[in-house]
Amino acid sequence: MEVTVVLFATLMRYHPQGEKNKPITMELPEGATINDLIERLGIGENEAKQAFIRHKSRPFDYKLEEGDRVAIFPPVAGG
Amino acid sequence: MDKIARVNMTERKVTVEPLPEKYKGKGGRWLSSLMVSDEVPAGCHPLGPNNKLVFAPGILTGTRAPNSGRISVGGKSPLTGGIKEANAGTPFSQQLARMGYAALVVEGLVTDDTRWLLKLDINGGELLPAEDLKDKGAYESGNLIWEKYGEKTPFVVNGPAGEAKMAMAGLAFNDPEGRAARYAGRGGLGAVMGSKGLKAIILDDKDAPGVKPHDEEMLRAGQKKVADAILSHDITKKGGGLNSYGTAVLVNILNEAGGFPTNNFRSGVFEGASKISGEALAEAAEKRGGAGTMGHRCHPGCIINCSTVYAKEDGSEHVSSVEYESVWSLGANCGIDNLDHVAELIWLCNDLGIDTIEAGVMLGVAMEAGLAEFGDGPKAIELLKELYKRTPLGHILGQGAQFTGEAYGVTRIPTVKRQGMPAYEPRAVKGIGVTYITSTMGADHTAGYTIAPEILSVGGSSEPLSTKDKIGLSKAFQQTTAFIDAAGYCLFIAFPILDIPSGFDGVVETVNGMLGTNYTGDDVTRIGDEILRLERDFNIRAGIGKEADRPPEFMRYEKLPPHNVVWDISDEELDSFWDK
Repeated sequence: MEVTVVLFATLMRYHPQGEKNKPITMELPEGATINDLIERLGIGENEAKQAFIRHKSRPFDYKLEEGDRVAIFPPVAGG
Repeated sequence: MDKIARVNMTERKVTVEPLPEKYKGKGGRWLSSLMVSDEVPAGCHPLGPNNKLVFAPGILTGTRAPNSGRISVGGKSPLTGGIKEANAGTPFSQQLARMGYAALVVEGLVTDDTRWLLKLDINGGELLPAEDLKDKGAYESGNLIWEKYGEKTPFVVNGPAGEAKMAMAGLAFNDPEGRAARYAGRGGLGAVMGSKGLKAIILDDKDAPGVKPHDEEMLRAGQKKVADAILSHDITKKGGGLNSYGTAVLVNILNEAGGFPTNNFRSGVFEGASKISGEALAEAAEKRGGAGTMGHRCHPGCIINCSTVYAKEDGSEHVSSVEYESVWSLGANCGIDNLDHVAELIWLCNDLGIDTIEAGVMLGVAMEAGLAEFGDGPKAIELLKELYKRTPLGHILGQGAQFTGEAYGVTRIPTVKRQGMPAYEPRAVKGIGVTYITSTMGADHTAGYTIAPEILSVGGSSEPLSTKDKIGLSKAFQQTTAFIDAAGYCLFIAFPILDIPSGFDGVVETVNGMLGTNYTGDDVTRIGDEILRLERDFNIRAGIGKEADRPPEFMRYEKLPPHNVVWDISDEELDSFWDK
């Protein structure tokens, strides 16, 4: 299945083509989770804090579906 | 910090008095709110002779405790009609503390159209004519002050909006490089200073005694714990999110969560979000070079450095600082995704001396009223310039979002207690909605930043769309925040200390080391609650009770996309906030 990934802030350096926050298209096996995707991108342990799909924060064992757009964030805060 | 300076604008006299017993051991918001509550008649006109302005450094301000350079400014708000404390990070606060002042009180008012500058020294000081600064922009005023009184002179100035007594005027303190850009912005305290005829305050710290902690060793041990927490937490460490991308690092995550108010709170998602994000700011700083800076600091002793300097295309400085709240209010909330237009709007706000949040919420309402199209940056710039001209339109807009909406018959006015809502959609993030609605300050995110657990997974985790336990969550945050505001710490220390227990211990230890108290973690909540209740009491006396703890009506019946949710916490639940 195909999913789209967007990386933010300090995670942008893991963009395979080095294009920072440009969406990444990835082909993953059926049943793949957010964890699998994080691993595939080589994002270090504990560097990814949250992943949003359809405007909700999802646990990293969330099973991805065809066409999902996944937004991945490191720890961020502000005000 | 054992004395109070008073400047009486009616008599044009400056006096110094010892700090009364009652006020000892208090600082920041604790002291400013207490003094306003004690000395300002709750029913007074905010721009009349009986209102006062109280400037109070935090308990720890002036020490080496990290990120403790905040100043609290209190008074009765011309925007909300209730009590107000607005705070800012600035070297001014540290100098005021080192000069031995727990508070500076401005009272009375001049009865003619003159302008005055207070030059405060350790013995009091004097009021000097300031006709040369009359109606000058805040930036120019700050520059003229440094030219005349020397570089590094700490100052606070009022912009032309404050001089014109507009209810969204804030007060501009100097940053380390002398920009009049660190704002105690919210609630119209600039209009209060304008009503008094006071244009600026500068500090002469000759022979300043410095700050003397009760127990230097304990203070040092505590400050190390706080610093270690800040420097080890992913959010606040060097190269972390705040330091690398500024506060606007929040833009994308709030947008992904569907809680980023767009086009005057019509939607929780903004298509152009990435163009006004912290990532876009960092990219501009890198590409344009020159003055563009990430990791700028608002006061010495800050070890987070989340401030920014934004450069024009040619690399010359455009404005500092470009914050999350400002790119949201003047950007997404107005449908504007051009960062250069947003930067110009921020510059204008800073120069006029107005709160960027209120200005953006007002512009969103003005767009709703048809004064400009959503997304039209140049027209928004034109509208703000009406404030300089003091046209009737300028005076309407200058009164803020609520007044502007009322003037044009708008029903979608996102305010609580007449103060514009900040950059988080309460329908999509319920806990922050409880804070907006119950805060003694009017809609204010800093009063109880439940965004930390609701969106950022900091200090635990709480489902943003759920209404469950949100009263208690907001209350706990509001209490702790009031204590942090009293201590003089920057609110951003909350991120590391919520996750790292030793950091929290360090906060309590620093205060104990400073004061010789034996406060525990429980006292943080107790003192915070005491502060909230004394503010609440003032508001009730001013006629702002539970009837004002309500959301704007449209949020109850208009479904907010993309979650298609309304405000659904009942009035009874909201009222339970104040149950003991």
